[in-house]
Amino acid sequence: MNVIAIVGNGIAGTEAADAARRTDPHARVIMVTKEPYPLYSACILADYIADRIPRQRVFLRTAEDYARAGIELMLARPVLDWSPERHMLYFDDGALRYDRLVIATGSRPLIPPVPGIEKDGFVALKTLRDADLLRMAHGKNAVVVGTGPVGIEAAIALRHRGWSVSVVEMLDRVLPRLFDLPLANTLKNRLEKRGINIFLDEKVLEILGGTRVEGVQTDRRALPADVVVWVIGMRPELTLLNEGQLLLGASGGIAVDRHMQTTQEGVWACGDCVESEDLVSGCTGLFMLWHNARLQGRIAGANAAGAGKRYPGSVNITTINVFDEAAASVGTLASEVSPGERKVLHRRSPWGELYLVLKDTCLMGVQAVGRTERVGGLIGIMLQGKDLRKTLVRASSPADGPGLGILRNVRKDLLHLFG
Amino acid sequence: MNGILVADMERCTGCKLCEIVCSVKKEWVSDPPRSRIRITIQRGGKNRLPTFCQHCEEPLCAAVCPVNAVRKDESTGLILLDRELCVGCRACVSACPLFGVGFDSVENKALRCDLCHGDPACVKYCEAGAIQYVDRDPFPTNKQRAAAKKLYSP
Repeated sequence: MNVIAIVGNGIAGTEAADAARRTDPHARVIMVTKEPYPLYSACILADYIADRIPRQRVFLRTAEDYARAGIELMLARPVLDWSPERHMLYFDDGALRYDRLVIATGSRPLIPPVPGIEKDGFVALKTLRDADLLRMAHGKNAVVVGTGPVGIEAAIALRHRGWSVSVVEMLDRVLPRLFDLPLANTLKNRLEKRGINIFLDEKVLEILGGTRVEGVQTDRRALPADVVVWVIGMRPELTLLNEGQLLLGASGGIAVDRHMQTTQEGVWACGDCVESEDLVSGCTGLFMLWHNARLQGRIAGANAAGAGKRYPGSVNITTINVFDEAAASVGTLASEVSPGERKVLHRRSPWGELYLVLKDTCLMGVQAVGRTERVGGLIGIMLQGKDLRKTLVRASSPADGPGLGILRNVRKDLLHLFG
Repeated sequence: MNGILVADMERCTGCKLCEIVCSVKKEWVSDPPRSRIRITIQRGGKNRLPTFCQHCEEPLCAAVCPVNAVRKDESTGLILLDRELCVGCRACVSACPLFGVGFDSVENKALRCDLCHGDPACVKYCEAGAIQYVDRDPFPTNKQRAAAKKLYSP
């Protein structure tokens, strides 16, 4: 009997296990993880911190669900060593022999060696345990370092809990990987209006205090802090690998082919720990998003069980709620397009803002505050990569669809932009 | 039940009665923004586009849902939303390429057409006959469904 082992029980690992189960009903599917909990959604930890949902709602599966699906689950069993030659995984109290392996170890928080990170009250937010720690923390002042979606959502959640929140960002804007300056400023103003202090262009030098966190020293000021939430980014979790066992990509994630197979025969990888291709820009990189992990997991799991499925690439769409209004972004930022070819269109309307990023006459990115369905509506046009000038000069037809409808509403401006 | 809604954009007059009917039937209140069908009227009013969930084969909205509240019903093939699970993150609203998902800002949850369990109210009230409930199978090449599939087929 084939043994398909899956390391990691996040969404990628779980989807891989399900897919392997469906593809090969006879194989043994074994999931091992260092996490003490069955699958939970890391995306909604902020809702839990803010008391919008009870703790049990964070969980998406119970241990019994896995048993019912015919998946053997080994919780709290960190893999200490891996031997690809012998097809073995080693734990502190035993070993597991597999025929096929799926690596879905996910990511871990990026923590540079800043002095003071070992103090009580320093939380690198990633897991449910970290969220529990934040909920138990006492005090008045919270400092959030990093303004990615996790940082912003954590700041909002802590504000809801009554903390006085300051946010420190090294770059010139909030949500720097999702929005260009104009929309980032809109969101920054909204955060500030609701009482969150934002400090941009500041670098954290030290976490102050004795055994407990008492403050954060940046290159411009010292901020008082009873808790420090560190969310400057994630890196692939690759402690399982020894030097040279798998080829890594330039971004530091595991390199996989279209079938999510690694450079080792019989080993697949999926989720935050792999690098993938962005369907819009064609660039390869780390795109650690829930749906990418899910879809990659399905492909990796099915292929580990003998299927031949292909992963088309990642669609990097992100939605974030900033105090009751949504903002979303997909594709390339204007700051990532070379200045010679870059064109942008920024529209403000009563219901929000729309920011289109174009490379010559090709739509490369869409950012929106409010009415975020416009972002999805334009995905199709971005993926087709059509010359928009030709499309817009053509007479409108009822079969245009919602995406082109958005562009037709700004047709004059776009054509003017194209010259 | 194996039907699907089909909209005829050329027949749609843009009266938006369907939005009212839908919100009354589903939410017991006349509140078009909380309707599961929406009429988008383009600038100039030339094109009117009824949008609603197309129940795609491989939906991106289900993939982005952080709480697995959007699921395919295996017996009917419909993409259904579990409103109890929905946390109102709006990821599905942004991800749908076809304006198929709405948002209820009163209850802070997504809105998705479930075809009224085989008896869609909007069809009955559309005087222009622009919305029709038809058998799913004769429309494998329905433009919007095909387009959605082309956009993202793993």
